[in-house]
Amino acid sequence: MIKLTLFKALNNFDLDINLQLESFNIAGVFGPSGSGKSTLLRCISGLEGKQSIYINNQPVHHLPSDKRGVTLQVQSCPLFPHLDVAGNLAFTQKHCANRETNISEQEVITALELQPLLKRNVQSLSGGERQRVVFARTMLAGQKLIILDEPFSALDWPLRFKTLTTLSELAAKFNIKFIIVSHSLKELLFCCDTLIQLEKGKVINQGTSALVAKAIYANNKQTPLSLLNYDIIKFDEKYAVYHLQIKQSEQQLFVSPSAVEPGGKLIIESKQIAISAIKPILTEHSNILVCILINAEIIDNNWQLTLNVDGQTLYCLLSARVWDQSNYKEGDTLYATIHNLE
Amino acid sequence: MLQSDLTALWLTIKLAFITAILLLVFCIPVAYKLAGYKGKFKPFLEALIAMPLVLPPTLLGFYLLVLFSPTHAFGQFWFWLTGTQLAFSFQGVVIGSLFYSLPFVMQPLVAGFKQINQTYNEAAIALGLSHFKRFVYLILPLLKPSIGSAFALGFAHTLGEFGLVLMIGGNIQGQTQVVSIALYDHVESLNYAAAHQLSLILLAISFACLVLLFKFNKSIVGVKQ
Amino acid sequence: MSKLYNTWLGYFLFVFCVFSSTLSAKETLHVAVASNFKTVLQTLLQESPLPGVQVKISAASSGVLYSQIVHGAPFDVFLSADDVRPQALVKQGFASQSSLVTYALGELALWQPNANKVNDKVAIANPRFSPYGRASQFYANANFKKPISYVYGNNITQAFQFVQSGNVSIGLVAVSTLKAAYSNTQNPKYLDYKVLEASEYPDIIQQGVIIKSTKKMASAKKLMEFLMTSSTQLKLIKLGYRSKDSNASK
Repeated sequence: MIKLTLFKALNNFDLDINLQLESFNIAGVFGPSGSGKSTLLRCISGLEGKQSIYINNQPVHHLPSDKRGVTLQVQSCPLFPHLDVAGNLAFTQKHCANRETNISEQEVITALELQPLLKRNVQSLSGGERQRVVFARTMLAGQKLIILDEPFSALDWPLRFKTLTTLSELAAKFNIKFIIVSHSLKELLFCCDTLIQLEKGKVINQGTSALVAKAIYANNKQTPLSLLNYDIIKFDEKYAVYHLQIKQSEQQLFVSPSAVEPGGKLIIESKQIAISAIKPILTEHSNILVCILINAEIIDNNWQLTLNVDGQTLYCLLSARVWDQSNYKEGDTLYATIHNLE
Repeated sequence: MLQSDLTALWLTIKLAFITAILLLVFCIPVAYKLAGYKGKFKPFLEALIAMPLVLPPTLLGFYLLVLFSPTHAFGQFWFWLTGTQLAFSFQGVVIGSLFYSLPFVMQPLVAGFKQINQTYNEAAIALGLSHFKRFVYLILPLLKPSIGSAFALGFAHTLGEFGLVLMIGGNIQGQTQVVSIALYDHVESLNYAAAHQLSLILLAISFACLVLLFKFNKSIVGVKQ
Repeated sequence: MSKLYNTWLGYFLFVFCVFSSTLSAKETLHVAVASNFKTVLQTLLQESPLPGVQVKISAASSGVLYSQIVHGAPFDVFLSADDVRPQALVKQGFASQSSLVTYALGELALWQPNANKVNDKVAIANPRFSPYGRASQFYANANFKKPISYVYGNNITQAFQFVQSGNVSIGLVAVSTLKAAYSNTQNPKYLDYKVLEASEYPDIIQQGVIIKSTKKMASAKKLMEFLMTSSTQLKLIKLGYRSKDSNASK
């Protein structure tokens, strides 16, 4: 439902894109700094002219920005200095024409917890507070296609996950499609169903998140992040910790609230995972998952292990020295201890 | 205080106020276009606007006298339009003042527009605001300090106008006898006491007006750009 | 080497100039003249220059010149457009009573260059401080239908400019201005005026005076004497003034 043919000469390379995005809800654009991601968004929005852009099979490239049905949130978070926070939020409410969703100011304020900030002067906000206010303002423009350029880079991970979850909820509730640009794969994997990888102005990968992520890992020789889907069993009030059950599995994890969002995925970095052949006992760690070693390959002096946990995948790294000592073989049952979850 | 002096004071303040307002209305859109204009005629346009700064007011007055004359095209056109004459009328002096004080209003406005951070404008475009809405609700509020300065400068400059009014005014009480002319009359007729009195009052009024203006300006300037 | 030479040459020339100016026989006389008389004075001096005297003219309105003299401006002679200011200078001790002369009488004319009147306004010099203006107002009040809608020129010349530019149809102006305009342009419209009878308005007395603080008394006296000679007075009549001793005009 978005078709782009873009060409723009930039400083070190040309932005040369021929892209078609069919059905998606939240798409991510991933790439290093300077790969043309911001320019891509600006073209869609209309800040860079003379391109070929179709949204829902309608050509929009001859329309001015306010008539395209797209809202772009630029990276620099420019809150209008002559208005306070409440004024900035009201600004889009009042002045954006052609609103397509009836998202209300109160709803956005509640969802993003902006109530205490409303009377504040925009200069006095911290980086994170600014980003939340700017996002709220963008939502209130009321369009059905919202494109965000590094929207939450100033938020710490717990708050970032929380906000991304809010974003997903709003997307679902109001039927809004998002395109998010980020150079953090972790962020994009958390909420996007489609990924586009941009490098030096060209799309080098495009497709569902899982597929593209895999390709990125393969290309960049990075250890992948592990994504686990889960159900929440209960929240332990006494210890302030969530009991999670891995989907399609009986195995459970205890996770601190900061990493848990209903409907979200648990993202685990490979350095959080330690492997042993024998189930660890008498240990303080309780987040231990039983898994089967599927694959092991050596990349740059480290062994990257792919482990199957009841149908889901975990990735971890072992140094060559440890691997040589350990004698693991494909098909072995191993125990993965996951640190820093609780 | 002579009645004629009071009349002159009131007339001068009226003239300064009307001139400043009219200039604001004209200059805001023109300054907007000029600030964004990057074509090759830019230095010529800027020089044209700055001309009243360097030309002697008497020269301006002299050419206006010629322009307003009913024997010339513009004077005739005005007569056809309004049935009145421009020379020796308040309207004529207003028109002269518009030329005289133009750069004092235009230049701060152009500087003000240039100073507005383009990011705000871009963000507003990206949010989906039409050109008109951006201009009225974003750019003009951000321009407020410059508007205040431009008004203050145009007003103050017109308060002190002399040479031009001398040429085209005809010294008519209540119509064209502004304070600077009334002062000149007192001095010319050796009536120094009256001249002192009028000067002090004009100084006090001008100063008070400017203090008020800058106070008003400051309360909007809290806007870091 | 050449730098040293140039420096010495410069010094030498400078010294030469300083001495040469004192060696020459001409004395510079600074004369303050009312604006409307400036060109007349220049014409007179051009035709008959004063021997041994170089006249430097500063022209402005009589009021401005008066103020300057009172505040110490180094003029030697003051030729005013009225009688009030020279007499004030005498009274205040800036000028000598004995040097006070009436060098000319102003002459008024009624001028309407265009048969079609654009408005009912009458241009005159400001009667508050111009003797021409006072005389004009006197004449107008006696002869024009009331109410009279005046336009005040800053001086008699500006009254003339208002009529000349077409902004006012009729004005009371100085004959001398009209004559000067005609001799410059040869345009017949400057001849189309009516000289007013001297008896119909108060005399416009233009007086001159020598400033007491002058260091060139001899040259100053020469100038005043020159102005009062009968040949000069006759020339003044030709140029549009009246002489104190005669009532002849034209």
